[in-house]
Amino acid sequence: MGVIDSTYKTAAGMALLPARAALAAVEGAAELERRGRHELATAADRALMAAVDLAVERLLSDEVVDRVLAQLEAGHVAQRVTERLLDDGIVEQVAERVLAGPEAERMLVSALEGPLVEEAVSRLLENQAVWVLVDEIARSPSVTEAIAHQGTGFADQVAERARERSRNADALLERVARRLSRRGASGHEGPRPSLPESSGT
Amino acid sequence: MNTEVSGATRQAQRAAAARLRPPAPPVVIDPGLASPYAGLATRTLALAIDAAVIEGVALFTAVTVGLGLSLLHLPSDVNKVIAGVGALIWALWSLGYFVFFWSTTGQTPGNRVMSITVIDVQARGRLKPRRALLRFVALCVGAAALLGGILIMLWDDRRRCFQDRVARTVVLYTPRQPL
Repeated sequence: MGVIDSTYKTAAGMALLPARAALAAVEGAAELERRGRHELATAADRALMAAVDLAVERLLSDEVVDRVLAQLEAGHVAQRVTERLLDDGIVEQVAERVLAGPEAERMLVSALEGPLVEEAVSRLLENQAVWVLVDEIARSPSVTEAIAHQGTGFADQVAERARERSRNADALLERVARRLSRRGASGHEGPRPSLPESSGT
Repeated sequence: MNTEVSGATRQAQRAAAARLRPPAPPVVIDPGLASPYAGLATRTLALAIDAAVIEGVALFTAVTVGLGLSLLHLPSDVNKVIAGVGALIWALWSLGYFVFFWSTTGQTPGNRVMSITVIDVQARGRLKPRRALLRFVALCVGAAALLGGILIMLWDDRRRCFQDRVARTVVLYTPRQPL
């Protein structure tokens, strides 16, 4: 049995030897193909990137950019994009997002701490329209009424009462005088003077 | 921030004020009155207030100057001259007081308190200084005639005194203004 088994194994091994050689050859070829393909891809990538870099460099040259911008301007692309952004509400969404986020606060703080506010206020104070507005507000009935009420003191109250009584006394004295002179006790008053619309006092 | 007002700001303020400044404020008659013309009692009170102001200032000045001069032991003749000059100054002060206020705002301080205004009937506005001077002279004349020049307003449809007739003015009630 031992001799038979060893003989069989030897024979089988010899029989499979070509198959094994063929399998090794196939594996080597596959590995070689994989390496070749990798090297080829790497070389292609390099060539492609070089071409892209060249194309971008060519695109970013001043002449090309100017031509592109000129064509965009001639085609009113910016206007169309702006109108589209406005029509679609994208600008509003951006504005809402900016105002809702902390960016707006940061920008505001930065602006208030900078020299911009001082410059703006200085420019504003140098504007005549601002002072026209201030004067108009100061002359408005609500403001003058508030100031008048604020300044009402004891002297004003006394003067007000004196005015009321003296005006009553004016009419009374006039009636008495006219009765005494028998020139009509009805207190006939003359017509109001036709005062100008804007006359000095 | 720089709190000093710059020259450009002052210029803007002045320009705005000039733009807004009307030629003269309008005369506003106090509504709700039977007559727009100020009567005897009101005008007498206003004149009394003005007299108090004038005499108060004159008295204070006279006392101050008198005390100062009393230290100098001046001759009596000199004192008489000084008294005459003082009387002249008092007259000019009284005249200037009324002429100034009538020709600027139409309201003396007394008029302001009593809310009445003197206006020129012809110009429909404030008096010119010459007219104000004429009115003051007429006021003195009317008062000197046993107050007859003042009391005639009781029988005048527009409550005009002698000085109002001479200077062609009327005195109107105006709404209350801050003192």
